[in-house]
Amino acid sequence: MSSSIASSSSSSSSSSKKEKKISLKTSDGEVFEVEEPVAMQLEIVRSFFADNEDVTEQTVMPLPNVSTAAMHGILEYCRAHEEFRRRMPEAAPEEEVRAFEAGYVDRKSNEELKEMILAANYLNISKLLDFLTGVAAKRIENKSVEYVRAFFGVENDFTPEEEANLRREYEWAFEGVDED
Amino acid sequence: MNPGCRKKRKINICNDRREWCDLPEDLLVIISNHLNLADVLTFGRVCRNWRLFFSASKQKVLTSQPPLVFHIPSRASKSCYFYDMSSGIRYVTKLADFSDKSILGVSNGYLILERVFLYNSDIWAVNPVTGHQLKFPGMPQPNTTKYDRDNPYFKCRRVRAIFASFGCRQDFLVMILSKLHKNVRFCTSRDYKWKVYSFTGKTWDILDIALYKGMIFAITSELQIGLLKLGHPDLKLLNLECTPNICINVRFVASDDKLLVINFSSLRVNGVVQVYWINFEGWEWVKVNNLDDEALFLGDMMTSRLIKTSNWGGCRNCVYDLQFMSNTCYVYSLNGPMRRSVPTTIKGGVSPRKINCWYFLHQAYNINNVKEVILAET
Repeated sequence: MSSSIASSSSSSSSSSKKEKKISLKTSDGEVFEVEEPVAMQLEIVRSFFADNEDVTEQTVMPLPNVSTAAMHGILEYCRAHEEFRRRMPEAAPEEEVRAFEAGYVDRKSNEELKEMILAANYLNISKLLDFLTGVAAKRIENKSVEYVRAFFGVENDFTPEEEANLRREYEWAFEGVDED
Repeated sequence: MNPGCRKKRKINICNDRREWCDLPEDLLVIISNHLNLADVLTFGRVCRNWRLFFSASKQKVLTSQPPLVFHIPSRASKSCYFYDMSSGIRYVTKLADFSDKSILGVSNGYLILERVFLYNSDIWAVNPVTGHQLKFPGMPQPNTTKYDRDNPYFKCRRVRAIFASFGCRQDFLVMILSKLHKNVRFCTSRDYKWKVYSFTGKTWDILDIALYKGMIFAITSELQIGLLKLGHPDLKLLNLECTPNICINVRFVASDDKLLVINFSSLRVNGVVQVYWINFEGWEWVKVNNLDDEALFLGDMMTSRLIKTSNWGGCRNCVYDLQFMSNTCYVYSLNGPMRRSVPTTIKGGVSPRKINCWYFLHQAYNINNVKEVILAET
């Protein structure tokens, strides 16, 4: 194992080059040592290190809005994309990316997906955010208002009169028709 | 909702617990960009915050939707279908009480329907997306004849209908050009009285009418363009230079900032696109060879429109021609041969007896105005 400048601990650095690591602390106190190019996909991290000259490599950046579970999911995605980029800097291998993304979201429950959308929004990773919101949209396609409320865990806060008005609109519902 | 629950939500915000109901607006924008239109409408019914967001961003969301193919039942059916050619998504909307009415046209997002009695007819304007409807009773000389049931295309060729709003109290105007009766009849929701501009006895016929920049324009069989004044109904012909020498099967196509005339015969018979722009600054006809980032959607029942394509990824500088009962939309390049044909129905979808035309969603909630002065002017 090559000695790294940063106080990196666990992850193996198979490359001979010293890999710079950045420490990120999630809301529940866990510290992640993240390879620099991966961490820099998180726009909030990139600008934190770009804007603050007094931060050092030892600085642990707190991310109070991101849970450990969401962080695991996000890093998995960002690492995979960094790997694609490293292997094929010119053009990403589209087939492979699609296959990875499909398998990646299949394993995510609605709860995990929502958590990660909020985290990706906070961390400002536009590519991941765009991808995850697309997945969420697919999961609520052609579903009822009640289903969408339950999906997002949103409470119905309309008054009975408003509800009645909405129901009237609903009678005219402009609906998507499932192809079958 | 009782006050207790509302309070709870407040506390949650203070505790920095993230609530989906209070999603940041930019996140809602990103999600709604992935949704099809029916789902966007569902989104607007989830909770108050989302409703507010939907009301505010509705117009933007709708403008980014491609024009839909509108399948209208010719009669005796309550469902209208919309088909999005770019995604293959189909939408349905139920029209109450449709069975005894027949269709005259589609204008500004409203279906214009006629219910015929012996000597007159009631005209209905129905918005298939919002459900809003209005009745204009007692129009003399019905437009629909008993022969139209078997071939609605004849009616569609001799009747042109416009629906528009005016004034600050959101009054409405319905106007019907009948080539059979040689007149233009119109009625407003202010007095529900039908007025008539007749062109019987003139050397020309009116071929088409269009609403453009709050005014009603008419084009005659001598290719004169005129302004319809409604106060004391009259057609004021304009002196335009460079009138082309084209056949008289022409139609208006309007957008927010252009009024175009298209030669229908040359397109549908020979596949040649001939489009002219009416230049109201130079008072002349100008041949158009390039539509830049716009495309011309040509449809029957008054559903032709010039549309920006960049918002939804359509072909720019093209003509999308959708014929009355055809199951195919033909796409022409403005300076070249036909580019391709796109099916407008999905398998097992719609019976061939349905009428096809375009439907522009951004018009569903935001209908164009007629300037009040046109109605009052003498």
